[in-house]
Order: sequence, then C-alpha cells, then structure tokens
Amino acid sequence: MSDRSILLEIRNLDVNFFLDEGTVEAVQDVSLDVFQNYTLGIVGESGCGKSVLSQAIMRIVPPPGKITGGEMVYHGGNAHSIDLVKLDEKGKAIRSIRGNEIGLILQEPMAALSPLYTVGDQIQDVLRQHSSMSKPEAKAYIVELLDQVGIPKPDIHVDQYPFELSGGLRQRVVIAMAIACKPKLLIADEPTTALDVTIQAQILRLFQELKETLDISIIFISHDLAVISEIADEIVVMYNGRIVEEGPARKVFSEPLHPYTIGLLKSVPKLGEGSRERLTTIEGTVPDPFMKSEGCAFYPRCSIREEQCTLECPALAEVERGRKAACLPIQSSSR
Amino acid sequence: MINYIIRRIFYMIPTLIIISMISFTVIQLPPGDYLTTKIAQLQAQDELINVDLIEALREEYGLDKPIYVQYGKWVWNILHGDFGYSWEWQRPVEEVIGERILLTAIISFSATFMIYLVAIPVGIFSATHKYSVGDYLVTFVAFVGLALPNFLLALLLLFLGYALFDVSLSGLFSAEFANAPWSAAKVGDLLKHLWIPVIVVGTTSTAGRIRVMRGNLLDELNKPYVMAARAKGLSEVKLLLKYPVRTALNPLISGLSVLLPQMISGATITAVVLGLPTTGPMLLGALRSQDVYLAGAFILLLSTLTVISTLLSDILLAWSDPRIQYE
Repeated sequence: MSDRSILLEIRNLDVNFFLDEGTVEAVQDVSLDVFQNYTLGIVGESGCGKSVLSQAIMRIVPPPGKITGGEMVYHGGNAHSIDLVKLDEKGKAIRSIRGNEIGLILQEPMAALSPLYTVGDQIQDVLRQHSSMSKPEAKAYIVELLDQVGIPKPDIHVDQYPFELSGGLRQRVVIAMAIACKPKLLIADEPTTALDVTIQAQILRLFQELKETLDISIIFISHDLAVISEIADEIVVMYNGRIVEEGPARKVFSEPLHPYTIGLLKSVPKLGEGSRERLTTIEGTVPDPFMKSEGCAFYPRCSIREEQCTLECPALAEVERGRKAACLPIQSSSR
Repeated sequence: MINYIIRRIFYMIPTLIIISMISFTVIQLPPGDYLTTKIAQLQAQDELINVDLIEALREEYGLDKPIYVQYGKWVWNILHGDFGYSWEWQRPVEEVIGERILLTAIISFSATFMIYLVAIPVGIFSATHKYSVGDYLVTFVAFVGLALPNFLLALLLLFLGYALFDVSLSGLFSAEFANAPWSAAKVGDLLKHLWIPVIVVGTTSTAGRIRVMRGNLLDELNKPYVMAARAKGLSEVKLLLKYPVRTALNPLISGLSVLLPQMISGATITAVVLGLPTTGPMLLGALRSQDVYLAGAFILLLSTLTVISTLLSDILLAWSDPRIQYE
C-alpha cells in the first residue's frame, strides 16, 4: 500500500428513517476512512445499516430516510474536497459525482436492471450523462467494457434484455455499469449474495482484477466475513447502525475482538475440521429498531456482558494498535 | 412481429363471424318482427292495414324464411357493401348510420385521447408527490369523478351552461349547421361543441386511470432499478420518464382495448341526455322496433371497432414491453 492518501472521510454520520411508528436510527455515529486504491469491507447482518450507509454516500437514501448529522468529505482527484452531506440531493453537484466519481453496485442484479431496456441502453445512460460520447462511440466502448468484466460475446449481449441473461452475467453487467465512467470509488452492496458459490468466486476475482487495473477504491459490503476477508484491506463490523469493530482484514478474521464479530465467525460452517458439532448461532435476535436503550445494543445477546454495559453506549476506541472495538469489557481489560 | 400481427388479424375473422351470428340471432329473438311491431303501432292508432301489402313486404325481405337463410342473405349482402334497408328510417342503412358512426368515433377517440393526456401526467404528479396537498387534491377530485354518473355530469354542465352563460350546450352542432353539408365552418362548429361530450364521457375513466397510474408508479418508484438509475447521476425527470413511468404505463396500454368499446357503448345515456346525433340512441331505437338490419349493422361495426382496438392495444403493448413473446 504505497498510496495512502485519503479519498473519503466519513465523520459521525447519522441517518434516520422517520416512520409513522417512530424513528429508526439506521446509521448512528459512523466514522470511517477510505483510502485510495484500497478495499474497505463492511460486514453485518441484515438490518445493520450497511446498505443505508452506501446509499448515504451516494445521497440516494430513499424517503423517509434522512441524513441527520455528520459529514462525508470526498477528496476528488483534482484537489477539490466536498462535504457530500451539504450537497443538494437533486442538485447538479452530487449528480456529477454519482456514477462518475462514485459507482454503486446494488444488491440484486435482476432488480437493479430495468426489464424494458437492453443492457447496452442502460449502460449508455451513465456514459452519455458524464461524457460527450456519441451513441456509436458509447456502444463501441460498452462492448469493450462488457468484455473487460468477462462477458463472452459482448457484441451480442449488449443488445439483449436483462431477462435474457444468466444471474452471473447480469451481475457483470451491473458491475460494468458502475465502472463505466472509471469512478475513483466503487461501492459494492452484497455483490455476490444472489449468486451461487462458483460464480461468487469468479466475481470476487473480477473485483480483484478491477482494483488492480483501474486503480480504484472499493467499499465492499457483505454479511459474509469470509468473503470480505478475502478481498478487503480493512474491515468494519456493523451492528444495529453502529460500528462495533474495525481493523485490518486478516486480524479481524483470525482474532476477532468484539463478541458480535466472534459470534459471526462461529456461525459460519467450516469444512474439513471433522467436527460434527452443531453450528453456533448468536443468541437472541436483532434488536427492535424502534426500541432505544441507554446501553450497548448488543447487550441482550452478549456472552461477556457486564453491569456497566447497560448504562452507557460504548464508543469505538482503540484497544490494540490499529484495532478498534466498541465494547466496554474489552476496552477496560486492555487498559 | 410482422408474423404476430398477421396471425392476430387472421384470428379476428372467426371472432367477427361469431359476433355477427350471435347479434343477428339475439336481435331476432323477441317474438314477431318489424312488421308485427309496425302493425301493432298502426292498430293502436286505429289506422287501416293493408294485409296484402304487409305480406308482400314480408316476402320481399325474406322475413318468412328461417333465420339462417335471413342471416346468410344479410352477410352475403354486407360482403357486397350492402348493409340492408332500415324500415324505420325508410332509407338504406349505410345512409342512416354513416355520419353517426363517424361522430361516435370522433367523440370516443377524442375522449380516449383526453383521458390519457390528463391521466398520465396527473398520475405521475400524484405518485411523485405522494401525500402532499396536491396529491390529496388530485385524489379527491378523482374520487368525485369516479363517483359521479356520466348523465348527472352532463345535466350539471348543461344547467351551468344555461344558467351562467345562457348558452345551450346540448347537441354537437349549432342549429344552422345541424343539417348542413360538411364544410370547414361545420367542423369548427363541431369542435366548439365537442368538449362537453368529451368531458362527460371521459371523466369517469380519467379519474380511474389517474388512480391506476398513481398506484402503478408508486409500486415502481421503490424498485431497485430506480435507485440504480439515480446512482448513475441521471436527473430526476429523465430517470423517472425513462424507467419507472415506462413500466407503469404498460397496464394503461393494455387497458386501451377495454376503454374504446366502453367509450362507444357508455356514451349512450350521455348521448340521450345531451341530444347527440351518435350511434347510442339510434341503436337503442333500432333494437326496440326490431329494425334488424340497422341494429345488426351497428353491432357489427361496433364489435369490429372493439376487435380492432384490442388488436391495436396488444400490438402497442408488445412493442413497448420486450418481455412479451410473439410465439
């Protein structure tokens, strides 16, 4: 990692959803850094706020969701720094960043493509929005692009509709769409979840290749720690809208600190260990998003909980060199 | 696509044959025929009846023959451009209905055009401004429009026109043009009168379609592909029109086939109230007096229009939605 200049700084970001039933704090006090040519992995179970976080960076959080605090400073290539939070959601400034500087890959490759337009037509949108390419130029470039993301016979597939393609090919189309304008940052929200295992491996390899050839930073979101540890430099673990652990990928995967991360790892089946034990699950369920507690959100499910955990919500703090955790017992024992 | 259209046109033929058989039979179902109705009328007025003349007429028109012979003769003549003779109007059918079919078509098509012209943008506005004051206003007006019967709206407009502006809004032409031959001035006069029946006939469907458009679009707006389009940096208007609106339009396009016949038949009561020279009142009269050839010609033409409009909407839908397979 020769180049460690910072690309995106998120500080104390809050995203709330104002529903009739109450307010859901989907993202709370999240701070993280994305460096250039670097992969950040975000892990957590469904509902932990990882997708909302990715939408917040693009400023496309659907209503009734709103960014209620914090800042996201984006350091673009030509030395301009913008706080994305301050931009008008529908304004020109953010639109010139969306798809152009930051690309987003959505979860479901089928749902992320409209069934009514050909693959080429949908990719062409983003190119014609951000460049002055003519239609034939764009088309030639799209064929090249489809080839680059490993789609066979790109000149045929470019004129096909999404429902004529397999799941793996569709995911590659969505990736091609996100990288079409050569963004500096690529956000991939569960890009391998809807795919079967062999295709998953291929797509992961594709991300590695893209990172090397395009000199791009990636925020890779998944619920699967094993997948993330393969691709990420650094991992952020989210629970109930907050970051509970942060550290270098290998370390987090091999020696997790936070009891939630430990639980996540234990709940993944391992091959070849010969154990016939039942798979461990994390006790309890994800907390009710409308309930707010003073203390740690993980307290009811925690294996190392203490009295003090119910009193205050733990902040993320460094417990080892380069490793942070938001857990009071761990923080006090490391002191 | 071409094959699909040709095949669909081919399928129209048996449909039309069956419709013509059923309608011809149903018109003849009540006991007696036009002549017995006529005799009853004349008797009621104490007029003398020339029995020989009646019998001669009955023979001339084949009314004494079995129904399938009458049907065969009717169809044979239609294929040669002869729709038969209207007893009630004492003129050939094509002369009687020609202009009425044209005027009916003008009103129906204008109403259909107005329905979509209003319903689509208003529906889009309503969906994209969900739960705003504008949306509630649109919803309220749409429900009133849905609930208000056509003829009541017609009466209301007539009354308002008379009470506030002292003009008579009934009919399609001013008195001086009613029986005049077609001319530019007559067309202009028609346009002046056209908007009232178009509004009356179209209001209910417009209201319904605003609701449909709003509902469809609301469903589509939350789909991931809309978010994906937004993530490309497209402007809100551009992405709305290209992605969710296009998808939400499909049910409206397929609804076109139902709409046109509805417009044509639904206008009858309105036409009676407004005194319009369209097909509705005349068809009603023809059916009551068993004026077989007149009623038969109407029903055949209207069902042909229906079948054609169904075909048109299916072709439009196939063209707009690539998921539809032609095979």
